[in-house]
Amino acid sequence: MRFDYFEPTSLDEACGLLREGAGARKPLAGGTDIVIQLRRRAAQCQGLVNLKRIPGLADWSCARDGGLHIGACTPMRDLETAAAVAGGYPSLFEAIRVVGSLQLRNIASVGGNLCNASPSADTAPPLMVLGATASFRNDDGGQESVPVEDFFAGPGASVLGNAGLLLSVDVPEPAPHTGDAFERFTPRSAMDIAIASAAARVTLDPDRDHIEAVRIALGAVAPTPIRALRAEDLVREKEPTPEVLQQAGAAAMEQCNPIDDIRGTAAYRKELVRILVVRVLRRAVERARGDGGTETP
Amino acid sequence: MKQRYVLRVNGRDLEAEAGAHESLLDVLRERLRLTGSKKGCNEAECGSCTVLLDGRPVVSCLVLVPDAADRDVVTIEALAEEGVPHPIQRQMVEQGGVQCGYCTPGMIMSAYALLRDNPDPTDEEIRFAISGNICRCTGYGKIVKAVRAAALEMKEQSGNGGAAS
Amino acid sequence: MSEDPSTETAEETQAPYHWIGKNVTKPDALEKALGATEYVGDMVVPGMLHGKILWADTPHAVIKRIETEEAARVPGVHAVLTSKDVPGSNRFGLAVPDQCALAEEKVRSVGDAVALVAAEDEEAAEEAASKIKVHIEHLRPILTYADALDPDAPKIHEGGNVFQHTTVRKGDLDKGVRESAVIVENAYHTHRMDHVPMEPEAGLAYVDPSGVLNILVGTQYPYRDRRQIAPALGLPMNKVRVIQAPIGGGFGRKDDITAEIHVGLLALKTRRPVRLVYTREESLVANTKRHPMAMNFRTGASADGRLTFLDGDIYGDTGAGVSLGAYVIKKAGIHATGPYDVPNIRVDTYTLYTNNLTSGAMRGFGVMQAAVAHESQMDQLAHKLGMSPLEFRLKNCLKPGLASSTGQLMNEGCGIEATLQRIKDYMSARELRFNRPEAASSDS
Ligand SMILES: Cc1cc2nc3c(=O)[nH]c(=O)nc-3n(C[C@H](O)[C@H](O)[C@H](O)COP(=O)(O)OP(=O)(O)OC[C@H]3O[C@@H](n4cnc5c(N)ncnc54)[C@H](O)[C@@H]3O)c2cc1C
Repeated sequence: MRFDYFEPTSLDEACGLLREGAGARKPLAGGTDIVIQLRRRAAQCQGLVNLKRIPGLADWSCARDGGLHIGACTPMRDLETAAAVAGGYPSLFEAIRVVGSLQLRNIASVGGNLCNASPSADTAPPLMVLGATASFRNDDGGQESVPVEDFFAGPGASVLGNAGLLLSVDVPEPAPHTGDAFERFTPRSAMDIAIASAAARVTLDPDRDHIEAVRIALGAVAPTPIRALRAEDLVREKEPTPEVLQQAGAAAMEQCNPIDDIRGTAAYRKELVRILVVRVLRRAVERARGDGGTETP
Repeated sequence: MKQRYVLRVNGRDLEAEAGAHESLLDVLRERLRLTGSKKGCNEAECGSCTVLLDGRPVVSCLVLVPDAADRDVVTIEALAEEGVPHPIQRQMVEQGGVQCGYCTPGMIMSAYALLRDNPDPTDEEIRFAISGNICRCTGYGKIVKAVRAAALEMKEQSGNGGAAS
Repeated sequence: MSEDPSTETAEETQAPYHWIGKNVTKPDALEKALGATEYVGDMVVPGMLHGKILWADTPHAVIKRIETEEAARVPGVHAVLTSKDVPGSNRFGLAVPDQCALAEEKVRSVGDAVALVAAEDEEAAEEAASKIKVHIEHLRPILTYADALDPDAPKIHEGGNVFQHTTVRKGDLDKGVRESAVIVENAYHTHRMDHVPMEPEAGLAYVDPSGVLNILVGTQYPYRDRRQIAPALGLPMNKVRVIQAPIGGGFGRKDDITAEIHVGLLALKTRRPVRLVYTREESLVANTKRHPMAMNFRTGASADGRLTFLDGDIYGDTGAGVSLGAYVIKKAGIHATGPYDVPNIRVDTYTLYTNNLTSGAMRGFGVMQAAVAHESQMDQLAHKLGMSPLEFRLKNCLKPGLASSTGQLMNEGCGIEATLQRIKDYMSARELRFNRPEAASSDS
């Protein structure tokens, strides 16, 4: 595993280096995906462009009314240890907390998790339900934003193309009476990749009886993380009774399109989706009602 | 293509010739001969390569050496002070937390970072802090016990220190 | 969260023993906690080369030709070796010498070593290994128990694919069946397992001025290693010295030859010290694993809850080499009754060669696999009888004075009854119950 190594100190320089590479160079954030892929010869590239010395790219902030701003290179552990993230965006906190190990999360970035575009990327479902947008430099150096749910193009592929760079992910401040939750299933309880995951966010009416708005996203059960739109339709404007949540679980199960692989069969993953969707909806509703306590880091 | 890197390891500036593709772990082990950090998997799964980078525990097998340049690296070799083992090291020995010993340095580094930030952890918190370190011998029980005992010992030490001054 | 005292080790022994019943500090523990212990992969000696293995990567094939010229031209390479370069028998194995240090005419598993490289650094060694071209002709791979038992299947070794058949016989099986009120019959499969010692296999070898080949290795058995290394490399026994290095976990795995012969051969050929350290992936692919087994068990019990008979077959997949497989699988048969008194027994075991990874010793040595079957049978019998699974075990467990399946008389060392009693006390103190309803189902 040998490659050219670049350490740009500005965005323009980084984009220029990637453009020159014409696909033969890749960005390097934490390296927890790309370094292993190169060592295993699962990825080919002649050069790595380290993004971590570009000012601002690893900065994050959480402001009242301003939502959560996550620079692409922010190590996951930074967010995990921030009370504002655990309290304000519990689904994202729950997803980050189970990624690899603590020593991994000190280097693995949120941006790398999205750009690696694995169907099982754990931060994707929560960011999708939280309505996050991804801001990036496109192949030509122009700046663009897309909702995170439109960021993925297939396993390992995103809208970025050869020379694109993800700059940040921005999560809007949640509306009142809103709760969110994430759960995943792994055969081992630590250091494993999800064979199915789900996140949900619900906003209740001011009386906290009915679901006004809802988003459900699933991981590891389709070529990209997906929204479970049919399941959302079944709970919107409804009272979140156990029956309604069960119906949503069943609909999500029908909508997903998992594969059989070494980690689990398609049938097993579908069954997991049904259960996980019910659980995340239930917990999101509890939080929206204000009676589901969040853990602190 | 090799290059000269300066690494601040255990408080000293050390120079190493290495390629940019080499990991911090390989440079520590092969070039600087600091072999306390172990290579159990080279893929961040096992945690036996854990070192502190700017104070944070990281898997040094996935840190490329240019990323470690000009930053503070602390390895297991620095924990004992003037030949006196760190309380975690001593308790790992006394409580039977060391068997084959291969996971031990990485395990101790994770525990060290924990106790620095949280001097009075619950067993749950200890288990969480070492959950990225695999041990195949002990079953973890005695390691958790050792970290708990070390926390107590460190608290007593600092208490005594306070009383004496 | 304090520890539950009842899960702690048994009462401190009052007897005046020096060590028994006391916590002992391991003499090498501090050095390990300081990070000062040097495992083989940590060792460096002046002039040392780095070894690399080219693995077969295919389960069953005939080797036609190996091209090493291009590999030998990689800068920094000192040796590229194939089986032709091995001065001795090239064979090793714990029970029978059925494994080749370097594959000769045939590849028998993906974990067979085909060629070796020694070079100035690991990268050069790796590059050279990737440039060796092995021309092969694939053979039908034998991967399942059925494949191995198929008389028309190609033979992995000359003696055929059933390496060993053992039998355990006790009492009168027909009588046992007649006396049974309930009978359960099931098939069980256990899977292959890697020991995953935290330290991947490694060896360091050098020829000293007196001509002795010294091999440092984290091994479980230096003298038995030597008995295998010397003939494989064509050396007299007194020209091989195996030095026990710190061992980063073995669990049975390092009972077998690991890096010893390869690193020894490289040192002999280059006359330089050579160190060879496996990657984790190599460690997973090569060397021994825990045996997968297929077990068909029929077990009976009388109406008053006494075991009446066991009728069983055990098939063990030992892979491309026997290693200790013949003993492991035979032992599974001997322990097929578990720690229970069974008067009438027929158990047959079959040690089968396949083109899977070689299996050998691992903690429990066959007893674990058998336990999956006999304990599941016990649960199902208890359920059918409408008995508590714990009472059923207490009633049938081996007590002092009773004999095992092979007639070994139990003495005071048989602790199963005390263990079960302790579980019973623990459960009743906490009012714990079993999940499965105890009532006999109507189909019994
Ligand atoms: C032991 C282990 C356990 C893991 N467990 C989990 C888990 O539980 N859940 C999970 O989701 N993942 C897991 N991962 C995968 C990985 O850690 C995450 O995907 C991580 O977030 C990747 O971030 P990174 O900064 O290391 O990315 P890198 O490896 O640096 O980059 C990943 C990819 O994204 C590209 N890239 C990175 N940043 C940018 C950017 N700003 N713009 C454009 N492209 C970019 C890179 O070129 C590369 O292709 C695990 C990995 C390991 C080794």
